[in-house]
Amino acid sequence: MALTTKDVKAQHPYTVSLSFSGIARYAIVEYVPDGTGWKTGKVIQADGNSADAQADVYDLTALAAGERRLVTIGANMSSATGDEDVSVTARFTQAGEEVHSDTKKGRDSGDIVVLWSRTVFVGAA
Amino acid sequence: MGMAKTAIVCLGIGAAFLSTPARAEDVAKTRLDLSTPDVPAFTALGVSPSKISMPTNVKDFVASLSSGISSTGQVQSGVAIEVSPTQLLRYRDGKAPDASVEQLAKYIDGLALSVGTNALANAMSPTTQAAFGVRWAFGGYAPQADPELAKCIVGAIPPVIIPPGLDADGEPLAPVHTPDTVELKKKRENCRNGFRAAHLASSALQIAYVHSAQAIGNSKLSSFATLADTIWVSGSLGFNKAKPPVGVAAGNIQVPAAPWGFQPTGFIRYDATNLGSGAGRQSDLFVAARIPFITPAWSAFVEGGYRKFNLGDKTAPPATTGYQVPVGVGGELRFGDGTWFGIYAGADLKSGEILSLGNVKWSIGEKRPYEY
Repeated sequence: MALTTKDVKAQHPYTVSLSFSGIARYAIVEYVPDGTGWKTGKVIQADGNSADAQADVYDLTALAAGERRLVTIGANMSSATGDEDVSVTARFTQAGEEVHSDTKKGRDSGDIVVLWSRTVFVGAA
Repeated sequence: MGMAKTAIVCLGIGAAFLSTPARAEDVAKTRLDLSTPDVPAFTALGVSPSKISMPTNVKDFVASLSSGISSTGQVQSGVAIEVSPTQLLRYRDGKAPDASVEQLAKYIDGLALSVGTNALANAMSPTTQAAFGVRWAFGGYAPQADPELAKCIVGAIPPVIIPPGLDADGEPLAPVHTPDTVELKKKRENCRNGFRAAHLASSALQIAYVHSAQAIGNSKLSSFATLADTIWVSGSLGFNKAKPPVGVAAGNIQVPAAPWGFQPTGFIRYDATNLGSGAGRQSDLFVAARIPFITPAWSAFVEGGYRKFNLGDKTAPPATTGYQVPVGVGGELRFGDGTWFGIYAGADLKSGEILSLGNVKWSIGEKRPYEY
């Protein structure tokens, strides 16, 4: 399936804010182009979770004009009862404006639910 | 006694109750209803909408309300809206909620507004009913909102494996296997069982109000006349034998062998119903109490109340007058996840009428109910 591509203003920081329905352990990684694919660029969060007191909001690397980054959010999810829907929503904002929102859903039936959100961001002049 | 024998005995008792003269329509009258409705507007209209609009921002809320009124100002039937003011505050400007909103949310998170409309199918003239409800709940136990349970479970979730390389479609170049194990699954179950055992009973306060109105023929807002107002107040105190395993690693939780909870509950309901054609209003008051003893596998309760009809309004020609003193005993037996068998016996001490029933309750998802 083709990746979603979104423009962000070049040279301006942007952020991702995560919200969860369920309990998550997650990682956020920026990938850089590598031939026809992607390789690990910067690990924004190697091992975060939704249960600590930290806000699930992270600054992403500002892009130069024309520069591309694949931002992935991986979440291993469970739930309070072990039998309910779970989801992760990633909201990307730049200068207070939402540039993209992506929600992935699954159903916890006892086993861990693995959810991935992947979006390509391109620096726009 | 084995589970199978227990089931047969209970089914036999239930069948015996069902063989008494009690009719199906007596059920609602017999069983003391001590519950505060989840969505008061829909309860007042007696509807269970399949599609409920639940806006999370002001823009969507206004759009939902607007869709309930036609261009000529007529109230449309089939409106079903439930909204949380906290959600509207959180996302009022499209930005992440600030600290002051989160502080306020601690107190009003349990507040919900509901609006519903319904067309009466069997009315002589086109009749539209509408209701507006408010519900506020404080306390109680929702496992989904327990941060300590979340901490416990997150300790039994494997970390995300970060693939070093992705193909052009963003898929891992090599398969990624999430290291979920039987041991981790058992730890998560330990967390759930440990916290469930410590919250069999809970303390909570719930208040609800609903105003319902009706329009015959023209359904403009100005044509609606009051049908009824109802207020519910219920409060419970929970006492549990087991304590929450806070700060205990998921693998070290010892789930109590025989946990139990005790949850005395008080309840007040006030109804003021318009009798129509200038006949005034009938005001009824119902006060009741229930004392349940709860275990993960079964529960038992006694309850009693006092219902006074036509409270204080001597001028209204009442449809019903006098009072009742309903009492009851009941219990539930858990057969499996989501499957409970309940029995109940009730009587009106004032009239001496004895009514009883047996019924099978189904609840999907939860391994036991958290509310009584």
